[in-house]
Amino acid sequence: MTTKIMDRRIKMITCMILILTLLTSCGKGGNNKVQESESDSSTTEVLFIAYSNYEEPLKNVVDQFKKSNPEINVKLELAPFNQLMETIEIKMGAKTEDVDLLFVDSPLVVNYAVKGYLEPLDDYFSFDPKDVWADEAVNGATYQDNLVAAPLNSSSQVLYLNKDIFKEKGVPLPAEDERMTWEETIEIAKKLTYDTNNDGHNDVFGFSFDQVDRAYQLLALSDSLGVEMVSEDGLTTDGYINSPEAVKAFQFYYDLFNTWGVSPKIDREESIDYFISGKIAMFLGANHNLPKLEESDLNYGVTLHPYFEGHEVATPTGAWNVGISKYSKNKEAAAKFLEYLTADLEGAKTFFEVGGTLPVHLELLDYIANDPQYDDFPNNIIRISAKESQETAVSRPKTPGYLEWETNMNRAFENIKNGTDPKEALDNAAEEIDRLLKKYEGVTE
Amino acid sequence: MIEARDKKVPYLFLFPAFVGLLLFKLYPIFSAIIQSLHTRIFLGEELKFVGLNNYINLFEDPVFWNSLKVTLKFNLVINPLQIVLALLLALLLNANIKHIAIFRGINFVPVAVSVPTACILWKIMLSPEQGVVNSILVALGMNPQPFLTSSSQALGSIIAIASWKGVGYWALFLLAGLQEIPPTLYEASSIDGASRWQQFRVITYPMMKRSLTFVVVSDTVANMLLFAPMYILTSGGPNKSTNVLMLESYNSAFLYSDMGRASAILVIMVLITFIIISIESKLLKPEY
Amino acid sequence: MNRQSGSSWYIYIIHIFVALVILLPLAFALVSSFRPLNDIFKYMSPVTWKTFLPTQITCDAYVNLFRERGFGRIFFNTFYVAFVCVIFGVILGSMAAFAFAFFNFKGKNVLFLLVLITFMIPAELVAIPLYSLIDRLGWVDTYYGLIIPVIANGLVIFLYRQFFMDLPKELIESARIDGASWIGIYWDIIMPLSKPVTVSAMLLIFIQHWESFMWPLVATRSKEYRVVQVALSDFTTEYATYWNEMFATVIISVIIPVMVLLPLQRYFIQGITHTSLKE
Repeated sequence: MTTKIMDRRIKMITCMILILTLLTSCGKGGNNKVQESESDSSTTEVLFIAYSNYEEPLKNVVDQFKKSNPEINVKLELAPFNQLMETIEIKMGAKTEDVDLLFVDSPLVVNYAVKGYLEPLDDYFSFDPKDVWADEAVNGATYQDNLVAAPLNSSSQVLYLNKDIFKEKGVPLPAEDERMTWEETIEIAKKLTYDTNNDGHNDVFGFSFDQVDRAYQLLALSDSLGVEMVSEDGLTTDGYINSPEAVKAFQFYYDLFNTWGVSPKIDREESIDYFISGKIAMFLGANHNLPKLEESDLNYGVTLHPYFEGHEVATPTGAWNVGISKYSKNKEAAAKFLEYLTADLEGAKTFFEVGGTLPVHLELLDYIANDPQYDDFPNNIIRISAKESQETAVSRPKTPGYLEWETNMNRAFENIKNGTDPKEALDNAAEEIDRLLKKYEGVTE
Repeated sequence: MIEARDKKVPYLFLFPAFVGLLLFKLYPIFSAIIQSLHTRIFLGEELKFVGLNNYINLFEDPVFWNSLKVTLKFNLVINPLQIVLALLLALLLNANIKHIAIFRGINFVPVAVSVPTACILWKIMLSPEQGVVNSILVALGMNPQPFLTSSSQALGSIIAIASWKGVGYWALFLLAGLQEIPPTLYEASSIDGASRWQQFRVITYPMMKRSLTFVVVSDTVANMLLFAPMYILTSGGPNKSTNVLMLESYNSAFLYSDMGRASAILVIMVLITFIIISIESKLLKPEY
Repeated sequence: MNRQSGSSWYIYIIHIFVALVILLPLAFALVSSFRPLNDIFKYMSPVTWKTFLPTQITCDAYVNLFRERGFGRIFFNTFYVAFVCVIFGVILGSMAAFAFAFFNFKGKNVLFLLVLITFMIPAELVAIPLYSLIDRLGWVDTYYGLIIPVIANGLVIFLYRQFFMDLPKELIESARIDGASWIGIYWDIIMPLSKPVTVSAMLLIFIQHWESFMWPLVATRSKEYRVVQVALSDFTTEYATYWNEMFATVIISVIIPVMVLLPLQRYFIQGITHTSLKE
C-alpha cells in the first residue's frame, strides 16, 4: 500500500513539473511580445484588421511603406470574409485601443459612422478626395459631408461564356463588345440547358449568377428597371422593395430557376466551380474571378453585363474602404499608412498589381484605359470592368441599417430561388426590415 | 455527505475553478444581463437604460414568437432522438464481439469533424441540384429531394446532420457508464432467466442513471445553444423555418447592431433551458 | 460475459450499416482531397464509379497545406493549447466536483447553480465583455488569452460530480480514520478510481477546444497562434472555395483525434475492474 502511494506521489510530482514547464513556455509567448515592444519604443505599431483574402497585396504595400517610414510598424490582423464583420463588431464593441485601421465594406460606411467607430479623415488628408479617387467611390465613403473611410478598390461583373457548350449546341457566340438584353440572354440560355445522360434531369445549365442570392449582384436586376430599394432617409422599405417594378425584377429571378429552369439551384460557394466544371454555359461573374479561370483549362470568352430591353443599363459594384478607428491612439501614424495605401500612386499601384482587384485611383483607371496590355483577351476584362464600374455601376442603397436590409434581402432572394412567390417573399422582407430599421429613427438628418 | 471539521476545506477545493468561472464566464454573463436592460444611442458613446423595454419589444415581435416555436420544435425532436440513438449505439458498442474496437473507432470519427466542417460537407452532399445524395437517389430511380431548400425538410435535414455528428459523441459517455456496471449482476440475472429487456430495465437503466443524467442535460444544453448549422446551411430559412432563437440573438448582436435585443433573447434562453433541465433532472433522479 | 457471441452476426450487420452512414460523407471528402481543384464538381452527378474514385490522383492539396499554409504550426498550436486546457481543466474541474459531491457547505446549491449557468451561454454572444477583459489584462494575441479563459469548465465539474456521487462514502470515512489528508484522499483515492470519467472529461475538453473558432479568431491575430478551425475558414473566400485543401484538412483533422482516442479506449474497458466498489 505504501509503495503504491509513493508511486502516485512520484506521478504527481512528474505531472506538476510538466505543468510548470508548460506554464513557463506559455509565459515566454507573453514575455517575448513585451520585450519586443519595449526594445524599439521609438516605433509606433499600427494594427490593421483586414480581410484575409488581401494578405498578399497588403503585405507588399506594408513592406514598401516600411522602407520610407521605418518608424511605423504596420501589423495585419486577418479575418476570413464570413467573420470579418463579427471580429470588427467584437473589437469595436469592446472599444479597444488595440485596433487602428479597419476594413469597411462600402454599404457599411453609414452604419459604422453612426455607431461612432470611424474617425473623419478630412483633417488627416491634405488633398481633395475627388482629385484622387473616382466620384462614385468617394460618395460611397462619405457620411454627412465627411470622408470617413478611404476607398481601396472596387469591383464589377462581366458575362463569362463557356465556348465549348456554345459550339456543342451550335449557338453563335455573342461579341465581346455587344450588350445583350436579359430577354436575349434567356433565349440562348434555354438552348444551352440540357440533359447529357438521359436520366430526366438537366446537368448542363444555360445561365448562373456568381453571387447567387446576394443583393450585391441581384440589385442589377431592379436597378435596370430603375427601382429605388429604400426610402430617401434610408429607413423605409415597404413600397420600395415590394413595389410592382421590384416584384417584376425578382419575378425574373424566380423564373430563372422555377419557370424556365435555366439556372441550377446552387449556392454562392459552388457557382464558380460549376462553371469551371463545364456545367454552366453563361456565368455572370466578377472581374476578380479572372485568375481562377485562367488557372483552369476552361475554353471561355466574355461579353458585357445584360440589361432589360428598353430599360437602363445597370451593373453591380461593391468596394472595400479602410477607416481609422475612433478609439485608436495612433491616428496620425495610421493616417500616414492609409494615405500611402489608397491615395499614393506607388502604394495603390502595388495593391492593384499584386491583388488584381479593380482600382478606384483615377490615375490607375487612366492607365488601364490607355495601356496596350489591356487591349486583348483576357486582360481586356479588367478594362471592361473598369469602364463599367465608372459608367454603368449603381451602388447599393444608403441606409444606416444596411446589414438589416441585406440580411433579409438575401433571405428573400434565397426563398424566391427555392420557389416562394416573389411578392410574398418581398412583402415579408419589407415588414421585417422596417421593424428593424425603426431604431435608427432620428439618426439621419 | 461529509461535514469537514475545518469549514474551509470545500471552499479551498472550489477556489481555483471558481476564480476562472467568475472572471471568464459569470462576469460576461452578468454584463449580458445588464446589457439587456440598455439600448445603444447612435452617434453617441453611451448606452441608455431602458428597463425591460427590450423584453417588451420582443414579446410584441412575431419573429421572436416564430423563433421560439422553431427552437422548441427543434429541441423536442432532436433531444429524445439523439439520446435514444446514443443509448442504442452505446449498447451496441458495449457488445462483447470481436473487432469491437474498430467499430468504436468508426463511431468516434464524426466527433472529430467540427460543426462548421460537417455542415459544409453535408451541404455539398445534400445540394438539391447535383448533390451526391440526390445523384444516388436518381440512380436508384427515385425523385431528387430539396432537403435544406424546402421549409418542410430543412429542419429535419439539420436534425439529421447534427445527429450524424452528435450521437457518437454522447454514446461515448454512455458507454463509459455502461462499462461501470459489474458483469456479475448480468450473470446472476441470466441464471434467474431474465430476458434482455428485463435486464435493461432492472439493471442497466438504474445503474447508469447518473451518466444518463449528464448526457441528457448536456445534450439539451448543447442543442438549445446550437445555431451554427442554421447559420451556415440555411441562414434561418427557408421562410424562417429554421430560425432558432440563438440565431436571432446572434444576428441581433452582429448584424442588427442591437446588443440589447441579443442579450434579452440570451437571458430568456437561459431561463427556458434552466426550466427544461430541472425537469429532466427531476425525472432522472436516482432512487438510491 | 453478458453478451453471447453465438448470435452476434446481426450485431455485425447493424454495425456495418451504421459505419456506412457515418463514413459516406467522409469517403467523399477523402476522394475529393486527392482530386485536382477543378475536378471536384465534375463527377458529382450522375453517380458512376468516378464519383467515388478519383480519375487523376494528386497530393497537391496536402503538400499545399503544410508547405504554403503552414499547417504544421497550426496543428501544433491546436494540440498545445488543447493539451494545456485538458490538464488544467481536469484538475480544476475534478477538485470542484470533489467539493460538490462529498461535502456539505453553506451556499452549495447556489454555487452549483452558477456552475450550471456557465455552460448555458454560447461563447459568441458574451465575446464582447470577455474581449474587453482580456484586452485590459494585456492578453490579446498571447497563449494566455487563448488558454486561461477556457480552463475553468462548468460541464467538466458537472461530469465529475455525477461520477463521484456514485462512489461509496465509506471509502472516504475509512481513509479519514487512517489519518489521510483531504488532498491525499482526493489525489490518492478518488482520482485513481476515476480513470474512465477522466478519459471522458479529457475527451470533452479536447473536443470543445478542437471545435472552438470564434474566440481564437478574436483573441489572437498573429499567425503563430492560429488554430485549426480558424485556418479552415480561410478556404472559403469571397471569390472561391479551395475545396480540395478544405477536404484534405478535414481528413487530417479527423485522423489525428481518432489516433489520440484509440489508445485511450483501454481505459474505458478498465472501468470494469473498479466496479466491485459499487455494490
